[in-house]
Amino acid sequence: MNIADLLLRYIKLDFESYLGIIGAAASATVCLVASSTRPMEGSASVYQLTVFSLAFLIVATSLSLCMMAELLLKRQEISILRALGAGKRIVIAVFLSKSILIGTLGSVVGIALGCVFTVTTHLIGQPYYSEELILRTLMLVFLGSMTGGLHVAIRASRMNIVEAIRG
Amino acid sequence: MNFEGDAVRIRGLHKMFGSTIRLFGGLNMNVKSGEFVAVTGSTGTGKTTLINLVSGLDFPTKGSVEVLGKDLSKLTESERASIRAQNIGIVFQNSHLISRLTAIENVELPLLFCGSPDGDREETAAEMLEFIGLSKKKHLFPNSLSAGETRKVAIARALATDPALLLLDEPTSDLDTSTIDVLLPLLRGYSYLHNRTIILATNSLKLAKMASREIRLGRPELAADAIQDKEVYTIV
Repeated sequence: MNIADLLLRYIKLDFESYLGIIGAAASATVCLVASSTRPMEGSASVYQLTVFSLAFLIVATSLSLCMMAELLLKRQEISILRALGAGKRIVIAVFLSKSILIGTLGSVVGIALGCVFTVTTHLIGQPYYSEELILRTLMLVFLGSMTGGLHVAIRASRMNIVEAIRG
Repeated sequence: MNFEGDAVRIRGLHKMFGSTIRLFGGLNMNVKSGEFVAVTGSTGTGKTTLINLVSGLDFPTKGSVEVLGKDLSKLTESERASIRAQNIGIVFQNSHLISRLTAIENVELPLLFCGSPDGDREETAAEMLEFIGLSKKKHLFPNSLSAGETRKVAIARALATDPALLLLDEPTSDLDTSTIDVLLPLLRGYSYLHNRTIILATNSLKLAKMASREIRLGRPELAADAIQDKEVYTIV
């Protein structure tokens, strides 16, 4: 077993992870659908900035809540790892890698849903997809999930080991 | 790692829980390198707290704890984690195996954290499980092991890095008498032959007799005194 094997055991998807994926996917879908319309000339940048900011907040918040639930469930195990000599970096890696995985899966699902939604409903006019928009959406969800995950990862690395082991 | 001198040196130790519970009352104690010491006392006298303080998992309210020549309160969290990984083996009161890892992977954990080479970890972990008599169950997860077997895996995990200091918190609570009769002399022999320091926290006087010295913790206000070698520690 090496560090990568250990991380793989911890990033296994569970119920809380699926909630996080749904949050990230919803955010990516909203971001893509809202940005795929052509707003009035001159207001494009403000409009897109608003959509992206809101989507970022939704991803970061949903991932933070999801990882917080994860931390509550695993705080004893994480503390045992710390007691056995695991450094803070390992704890941070456990939480960050899981939040990035959830964010990535969520963004892929969200982008796919956004494409299907826009093409099939024709509710918002001529869809406008560029590689740049899709990349921006991916990047936004990635950064949002990193932010949400990092906040919990730092908390996890600063837990009181004795209290957490006691349960 | 071989360490000469006092493996553990405690000075003026106080630990408070809230404003009412006061433990140790200024305890002073030295544990020499290679010594096998039993810490005894009834429930609530602070045996587990003492193990936590010596392992750097907890901090004294007042006083100092030096382990292998280093004052734990002056180290960063990373440095304390490094000392635990390299030099301290711990058997917790409730074993605390990682449920998502098999027995052998649990034993590999401290080896992984102390930077043991990739190829050696599995081999060393397998040897430790064989030493403890669990080689046939090395690929089982903790929920498939009995309480006694879980305890044995926890002991193998603590011994895996051949630590200079071994901290055992009620290590025999789930073991049958015959296993205890085999295990403790083995640990005593291990301590003697390899110059490894062992601190055993137990409320069994029978087990404590196997140690070379016993430190009995009194009620919170009474602090500690040693009964076997007539050494008396600070009483506040």
